[in-house]
Amino acid sequence: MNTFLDDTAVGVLLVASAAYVFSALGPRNLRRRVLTALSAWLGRAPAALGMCRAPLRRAAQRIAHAAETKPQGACGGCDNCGSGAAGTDSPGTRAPETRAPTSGAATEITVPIANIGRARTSRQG
Amino acid sequence: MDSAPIAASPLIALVGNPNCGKTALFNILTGSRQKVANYAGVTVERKEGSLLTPSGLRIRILDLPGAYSLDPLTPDEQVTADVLFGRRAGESQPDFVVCVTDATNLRQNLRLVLSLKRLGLPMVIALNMTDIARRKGIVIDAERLAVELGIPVVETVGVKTAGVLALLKVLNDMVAPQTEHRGAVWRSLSAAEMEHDQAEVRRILGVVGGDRLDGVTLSDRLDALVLHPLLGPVILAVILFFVFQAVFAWAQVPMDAIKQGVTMFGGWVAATLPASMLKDLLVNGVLAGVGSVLVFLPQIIILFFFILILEDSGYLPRAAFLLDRVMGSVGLSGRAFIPLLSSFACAIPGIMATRTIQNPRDRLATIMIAPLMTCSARLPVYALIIGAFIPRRTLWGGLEMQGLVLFALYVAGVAGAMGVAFVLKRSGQGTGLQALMLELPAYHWPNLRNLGIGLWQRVEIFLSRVGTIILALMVILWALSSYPGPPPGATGPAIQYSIAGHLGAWLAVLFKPIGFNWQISIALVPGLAAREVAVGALGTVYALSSTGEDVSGALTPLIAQSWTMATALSLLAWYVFAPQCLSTLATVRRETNSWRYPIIMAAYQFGLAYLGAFITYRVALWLSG
Repeated sequence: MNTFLDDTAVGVLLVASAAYVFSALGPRNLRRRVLTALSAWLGRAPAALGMCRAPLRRAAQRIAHAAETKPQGACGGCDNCGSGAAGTDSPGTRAPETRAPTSGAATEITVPIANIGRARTSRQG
Repeated sequence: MDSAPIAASPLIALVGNPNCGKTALFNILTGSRQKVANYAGVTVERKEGSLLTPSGLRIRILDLPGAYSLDPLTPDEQVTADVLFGRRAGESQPDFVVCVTDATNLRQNLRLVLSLKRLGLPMVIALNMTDIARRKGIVIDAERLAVELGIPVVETVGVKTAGVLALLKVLNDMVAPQTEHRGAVWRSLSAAEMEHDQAEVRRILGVVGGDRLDGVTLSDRLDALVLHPLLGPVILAVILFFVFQAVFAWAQVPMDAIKQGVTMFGGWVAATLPASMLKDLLVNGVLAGVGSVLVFLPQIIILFFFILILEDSGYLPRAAFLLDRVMGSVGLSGRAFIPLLSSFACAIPGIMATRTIQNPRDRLATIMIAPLMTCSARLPVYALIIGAFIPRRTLWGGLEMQGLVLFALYVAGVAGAMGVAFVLKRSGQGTGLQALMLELPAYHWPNLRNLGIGLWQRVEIFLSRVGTIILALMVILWALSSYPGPPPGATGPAIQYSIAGHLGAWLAVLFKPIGFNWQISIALVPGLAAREVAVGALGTVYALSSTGEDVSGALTPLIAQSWTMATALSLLAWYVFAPQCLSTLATVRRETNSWRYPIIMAAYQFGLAYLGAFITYRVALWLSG
């Protein structure tokens, strides 16, 4: 095999894998910042790129959306940790749709362990 | 997705007592596939979906955790109350409430209906499970119920589309976005108000029917056996034992087929591609690693087949009652059983499910021990080592030795968790014995659709992990194991001179006292992302260490030749206790709102794993002379 092609293919696979691992397992805030920055960078594609600008902008939008909605602490797993994402097929309605919440912060439950589970005395009257 | 129109759509909340069928109805309405099961406390977080009514009105629907009242006692009830009162950050108060009620238990459900009515939000009642009610001879006059409550009532069957169209029509006619949201208008009920509600419930039931007390039902007769103080635990042990036997006995043929498929594909790739780095990456990195994990898919499916059947049948809350005394002896409440059982699938939903535990200390103790339950990600590791070192021998009574060892590993995890809970209790983290109050649902045959969806979801999750995070980590591990290349004149395998090889050599010093070689030491590092990654990592590391052409389907015989029995048992002991999953620690941090507990958890689990592996290794060495 051509050495250049070989090196390029392996390099691309490595970079893609590292990027995926970072996006799936990296620190949440850092992930969001990097994705937002990447989206902004792609969105500023210069006019000289011509026809390539449209797909780059679409990619930028997708990345911006991912930065907002990527399941918290995603491990490539079940998304069962409060992400709220769900399937989209529907046997009973015309155009069903479920969506991930638009804000990561709004979907996260942070109940301080000391402040939960206390029966209210007012309940007894 | 254009989010603007959706955000402006009316917001409907599905509210009701636990286990009344809210999530089943939500799934039917939105086409979602959220988890449903026949016990209280499955949903502990709000889930959102949307639908179009027949006239084209888009509606957002929230599925909320079950609640017995609007005065929350547990974190999951707190979620429901906060959403209904409009107190949740970043979320407006719902425009409309669908109160889902269990037609077979209207007496209990109506109390919540009256509370919701007091809240003042527009509302409709979905009288759910009407099919089961009819079968039990319970006849409710829905029209009269609507008149008495002053609220529209629609009969529904959550697991079928029956009644859903009628509900959609009501939603279409009644729902409109509120122009202004009122915020919280709830105050806790006084004793007099509660008494008034009770009297009102009795009055309404007297008018509409539906308050018939059944005689001895089939569920009661089954409970006489299943909850028997002596027979009950025996039945539970037999069921669990059968499950672990089946995991090995039934999976062999499909596992062999997958292994053969991976080997053939690896052989084809090796024969087709010319000698190159790309070929090495695909054969020794991707196929050896991913193929080693993929082969355990049938065992995962069989395990979840049984777990889903137990969930859907209504048996699990009974098991919680059976184990209440045992759990109470180590300072846990019986309510901890369901979260701990959920942890057998994955510790993350298990930790989330602790929100149903009222007492904060009990909840914390349950969170701390949940990762010791044997999650499904450990299964590939266990199955690999058991397959390599435990002979396929049938013992007395047709019991398979491999299944017996797997059962013992699960028991070891539970015993470890009980031990830690006992220590937490002694150190003041647990509380005294508390009475367990848990609703026992009627038994029913598992719903085949739910079972099929549940199994398919597990397959998707497993394949998604294999095809994403495990694949990506294997590519990175291959690079770390291949670079830098061996120096001129090197005699050992190239991996020994690589970054991973050096790392493995350093780690091997730390792990030598517990019998781990440098290959195992390397595999433990990517295994921190997810436990089953360790199997793929072993596949990749051994593929790069060997001189043979194809290792993708041959990890089991390779480790059988390279490791001693003492090392294998030590690694099993390590995996019973070790925290190998960063996502679990992140979830603990989120649920406790503190870094303190995940740090304590990681420290004690590493300590326990090292100690357990050390003792196992030394004892095994001593026994083998």
